[in-house]
Amino acid sequence: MIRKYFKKDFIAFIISLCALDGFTSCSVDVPPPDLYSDPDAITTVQSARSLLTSCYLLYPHYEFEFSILGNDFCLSSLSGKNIDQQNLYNWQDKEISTMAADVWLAYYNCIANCDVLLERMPDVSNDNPAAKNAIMAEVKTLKAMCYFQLLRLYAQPYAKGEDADGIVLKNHVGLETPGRSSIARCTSYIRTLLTEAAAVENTPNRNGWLSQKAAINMLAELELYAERYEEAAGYAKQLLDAMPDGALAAANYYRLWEAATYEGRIFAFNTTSTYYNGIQYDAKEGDYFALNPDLILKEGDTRKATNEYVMTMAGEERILMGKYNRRNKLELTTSYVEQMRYANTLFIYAEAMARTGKENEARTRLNAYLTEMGASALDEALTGEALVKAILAEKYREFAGEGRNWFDLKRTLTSIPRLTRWGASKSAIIQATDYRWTFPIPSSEYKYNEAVTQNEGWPLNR
Amino acid sequence: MLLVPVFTFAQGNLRVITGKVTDEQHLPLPGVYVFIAGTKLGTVTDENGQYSLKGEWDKDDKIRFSYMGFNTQYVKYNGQSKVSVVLKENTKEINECVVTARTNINEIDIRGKAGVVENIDMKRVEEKPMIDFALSLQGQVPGLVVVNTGELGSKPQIRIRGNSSLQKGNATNEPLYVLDGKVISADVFYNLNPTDIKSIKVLKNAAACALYGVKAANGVLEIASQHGYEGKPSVTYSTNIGVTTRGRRGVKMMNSAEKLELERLLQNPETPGYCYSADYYNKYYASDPNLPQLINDGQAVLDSLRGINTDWFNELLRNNVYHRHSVSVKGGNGETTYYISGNYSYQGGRIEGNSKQRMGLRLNLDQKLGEIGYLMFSVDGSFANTKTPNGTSSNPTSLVYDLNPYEQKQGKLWSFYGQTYNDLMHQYEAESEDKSAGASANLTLTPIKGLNVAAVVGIDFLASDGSQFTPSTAYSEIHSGASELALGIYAKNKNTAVNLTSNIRATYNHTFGEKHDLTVGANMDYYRTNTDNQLMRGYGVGTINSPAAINQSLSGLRQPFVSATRDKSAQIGFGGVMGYTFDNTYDVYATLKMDASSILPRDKRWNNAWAVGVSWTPTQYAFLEECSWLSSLNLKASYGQTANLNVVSISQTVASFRFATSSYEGTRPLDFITLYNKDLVPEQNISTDFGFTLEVLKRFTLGMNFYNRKTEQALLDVPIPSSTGYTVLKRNIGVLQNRGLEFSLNAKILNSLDWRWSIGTTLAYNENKVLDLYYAKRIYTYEDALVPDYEIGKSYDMLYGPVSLGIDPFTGYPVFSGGNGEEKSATKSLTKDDVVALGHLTPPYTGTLSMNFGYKSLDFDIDFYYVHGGVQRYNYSYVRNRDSANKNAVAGQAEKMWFSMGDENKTYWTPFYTSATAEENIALYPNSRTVGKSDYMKLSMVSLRYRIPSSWMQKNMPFVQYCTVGLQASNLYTWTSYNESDPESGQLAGTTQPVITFNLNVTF
Repeated sequence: MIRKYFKKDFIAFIISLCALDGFTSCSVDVPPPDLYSDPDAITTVQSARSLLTSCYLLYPHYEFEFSILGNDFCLSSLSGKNIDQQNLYNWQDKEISTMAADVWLAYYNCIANCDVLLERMPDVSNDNPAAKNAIMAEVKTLKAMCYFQLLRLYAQPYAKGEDADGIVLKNHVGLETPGRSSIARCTSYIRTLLTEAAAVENTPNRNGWLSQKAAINMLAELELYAERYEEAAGYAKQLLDAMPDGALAAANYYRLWEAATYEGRIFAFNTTSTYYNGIQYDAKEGDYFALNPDLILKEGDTRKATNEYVMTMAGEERILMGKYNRRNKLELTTSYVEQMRYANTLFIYAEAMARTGKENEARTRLNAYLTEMGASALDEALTGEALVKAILAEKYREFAGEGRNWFDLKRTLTSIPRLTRWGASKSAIIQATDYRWTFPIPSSEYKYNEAVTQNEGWPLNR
Repeated sequence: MLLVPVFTFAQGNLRVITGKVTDEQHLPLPGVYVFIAGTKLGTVTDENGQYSLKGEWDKDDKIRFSYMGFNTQYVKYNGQSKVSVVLKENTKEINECVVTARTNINEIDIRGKAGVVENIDMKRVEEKPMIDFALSLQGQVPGLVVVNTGELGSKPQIRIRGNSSLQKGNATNEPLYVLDGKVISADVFYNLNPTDIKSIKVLKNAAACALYGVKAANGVLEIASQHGYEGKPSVTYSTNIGVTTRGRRGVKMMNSAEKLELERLLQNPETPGYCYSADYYNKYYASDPNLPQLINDGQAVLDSLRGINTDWFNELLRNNVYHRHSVSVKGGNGETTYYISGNYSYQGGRIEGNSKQRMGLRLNLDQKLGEIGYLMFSVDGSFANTKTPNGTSSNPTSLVYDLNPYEQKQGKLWSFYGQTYNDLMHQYEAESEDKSAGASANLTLTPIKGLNVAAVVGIDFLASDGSQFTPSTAYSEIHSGASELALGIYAKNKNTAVNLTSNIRATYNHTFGEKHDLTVGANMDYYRTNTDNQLMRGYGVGTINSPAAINQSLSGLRQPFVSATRDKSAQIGFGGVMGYTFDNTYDVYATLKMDASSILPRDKRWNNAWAVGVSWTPTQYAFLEECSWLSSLNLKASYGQTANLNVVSISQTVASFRFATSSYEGTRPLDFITLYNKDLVPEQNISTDFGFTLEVLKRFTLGMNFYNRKTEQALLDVPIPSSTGYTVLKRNIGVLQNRGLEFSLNAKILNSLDWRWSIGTTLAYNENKVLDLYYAKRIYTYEDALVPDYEIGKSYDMLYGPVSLGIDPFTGYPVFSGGNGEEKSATKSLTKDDVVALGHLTPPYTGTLSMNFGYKSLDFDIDFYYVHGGVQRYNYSYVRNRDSANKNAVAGQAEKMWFSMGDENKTYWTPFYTSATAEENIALYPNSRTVGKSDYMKLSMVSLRYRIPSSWMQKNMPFVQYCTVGLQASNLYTWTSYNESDPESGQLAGTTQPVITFNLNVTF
């Protein structure tokens, strides 16, 4: 019976087999199901924004490690439990080399992703030009932030000469082996990016997006670095003049350390993962580091409540790092990683004014803030270099543990002590001339890029 | 109606005949149809060519013996009880044969003219009692190298003629698996049931593989399943039941007395041998008034410890069981035949909790379509389950080397501070399951003489599930610092793969002018692969091994996690083939296949595979045909090129993006996957082959093949400057070469109906070399590499390191022979000039020795497998220094170790850390004294089988047609000079288990 059936229909059967083959074979254009691939991947404002979001998440956060290297901490009774961190605190070559390799890759990874987006922006539809321009401005600011960090880490201080080697400036995404551009060239490249970004009117309603104000603040920061104090002061004033009411009020200070978005911030990275938990050995036993006693705020200072955390360690009450660490200890989530706030702008303004001889203005503006916070005001008698030092000392207190002080210390060629347990004494002094202020170019770069030079004092094993 | 043929019996005398059917070389022919001509009364011969036919028929009836490719023979029945025949091969008939039931659509005869196609002897594979089917193929065919990679159930490494790619791993180097014409996943192949398989062909060179196109760059294994036959249904049951043993001990560890003495010498106060010793008390309690008492008490503790001698090898590793059962039914009538089978196997591992089991079902149905064709339909399904025991921080096998002989299963351990034996075991469970199902329809038609049209459609489905569970009571969990509600980890992954195959071929064969034989063919095929992988991981499950127990309210690092990836790809190809034979003496063969793949950008989508070949059979000449000693000689040569698309993915050629699971300011990030290389092109394999087969006196067969396979545009993930934001990029970096020789010799020493004795040997040699690198003279794949991984003119699986001159009596560290000929202490940094090639990681020589001996109903088979020329780096983890003194050490360490200045002729360097450079030199680079030759010879199979005589069977168990009983064993013993446990995998943990079984095979 089967035979009969097939005798009648086997030709139809063959035809259907051929047809099956034929139909299915039309489709070698099989798009990968969970991927978006060029040329159609990034063509709308939405997809460009999503890619930009990925770039924001790739921005590395080494704030804690930079604080270890800086003047922010002293050793605690638990420091010996984490040898790597203790070695980093003591500026051991090996530890800095390891960190330098990770940091280099992480910032360049963020830059590469920004470039991937920038290279695709011309293909993004112009349906919503404002949104498209905002994306362009944000990605440029983000890329500038990465380059600026790299420049400050891997090039010698600006004050030692702007013709020295800076960092590798990328021309396009992918394989290329350019040498290091000079510090001056790098600075001007970053300035161009930021100037373009600052020209775009962009006022996002959440702290996690880089606004026009953030671009201007970055310009102020860059010009301070490049010793163009007039320009730095100009950008800072522009922001301070347009500052929202109460942004520097003592009553609002705590809001900087809350989980909600707040207009007193200029820019902060949004985060959903744990942050700053590297400092803690154990919730009950305490931290690997305590706050440098020099940076402890005076009693009555409004900022003390959030910036410091008091805990009993080794039988005594110790003042530990507050801010994110405090939130972690209280089991509160951190949603924002502070990057730019008006206090930051204010300190740039004050330093730039002091350095350009407008000392009264510098002192007045800063004292207004310090008084508001309940700190002691700067002495009216302070002038010149002493005033700048006093401004910076206040800045170190404000930003303790936020990974910024090291950069100011390097910029101003300041030596720093390494402190013993609880800051009782100094175990060593890192001189301002020390080669370790300039991070080594990692072997993952110089082994495969012959054009790259190594920084003084560090090995080059090609 | 379809499955049960109707049998009619004429009334008469019940008659019985038995006998054996062989070919002209006296080799038994299995599957020969033995029928009483003109009736439906018949049977088929078993695998030894034996048959037994009973029923009622008349004198003068003719008995018909028919077999595909052989001349049908008729024998007149005149009352004899035994009829043995020799069938003559008829090569002509193959071409004329009206219907050739072929299971592989690409298996066309002309391919054999130039291609290197070798058959695996399925009989020998079946004789090996092993649950890992793929591993049982080891040594079956020269050039097919199968390597065991670890404990029972771990995926083997299968290579045909070496690694063709610089990229390591199975994905790039594994052959293509084709079952009855449809492409199957590697995991489906690993779990096939050997008794369901009729034949496996190994396709080695471009000429043989070209019709499969770009998928077949690493060779093909073509598997054909069993089919039914015309005749009364026969049921076969076969079983192996036996034991698995512990295997090779490898490293002999210390006993308690020796270990305690070593501890005293190493002076680690965390070990009993030191902290209870007089040395210790004299050093730290010298002024204690109770000193003599302390020493005495210490001695008492040590004495009691010396009294305990636990052999952890015997304690942790164990003997286990192996059993396999399979049942098959086959039969059919002139129109429809069927084969149905079911099987179950179980093998217990050496470690508690490690086991593998496998189940499978298969149905093959063949329908004759009148005089012009066949339709074959097949469905199969299988289930395999592997259980892996693993401590979260310690592999149970490694505990054999870690636990001290004075420790027991009860009480605190010294070797793992603060833990007990129970804290090490039952800490973790992992299970994996492979479920597969497949179906294929295969149509073969010969509408007009010489024209053959075949089509196949097939689907292969594989679902692999894995689960890992760490209970909240596990030591690692208790000490993880997580809150109580968050303890216990459960993870589950589910991966499915679907392969669709459709292939149509037309072949036309025409013979003209008596001497010319021409074949032309064309084919079109389409393959589609879908994969869908999911992973979930959750915490807080407590002691419940189930996803339902996951605590979904957790946030932060222990929040539930889900990820999924999917992939689809398709490939279409058009091919042509041409073969011409003149006078059965000269053959010319050419084939071209063009394939388009969806994984490449549109402009690079089409890739070619082509091959040409010639062959010459001089023994067809009249003057040689006369030659009495030369039975046959055939020479072959071929050249071909195949593109290789393995592991090229779309995200590596164009910018690709994927949504991430995280979020930022309420927006979902779209991640750029990785740096792409828009200049990427597929690897090109170019192979040249030459071979001959020679048969002398119809007894000795010698085969030799030489090959040279070049891989151009070889792909590799090469390091790039990190300022690109990435550290590696896939690039076409150069040209490599695999060259080799394969040799096989078979001799039939005795060959009569009662006495059979044959021996065989094979040898394969493979060498590889980097011929060219496009961008640099050498490539280092990691930053601290002293020696380039790839260098022009060098082999790419070489292990490099310094030559050690022994341990320096002054420093206690090795002294190396420096590049300038001077001695160089290990305390100085090594440079590139100080290192030499220590040997190949992959042994270049592999081979087998096999023997078959038979007398009447008794059959004895034995196989040896050997490798030669490779090295493995010793693990040395069982040599303890001061810091690791709390773990057990290798027997004899105390004598062989340097302890203080002046110790000469020592093997092991100082246990006291004195030089960071020396420790780094020893840790990073092997040296001539820390590697060992991985040469070994393995007794891989022994089988002794007895076939119960039919006469006895007729008398006592008339319902049984055939019955054999036997003893079969696999991997019984390994001879090696290698000092650790397993020269094959180079791991302390992994070794193939010996299996010894009783075998029973009954056909009803």
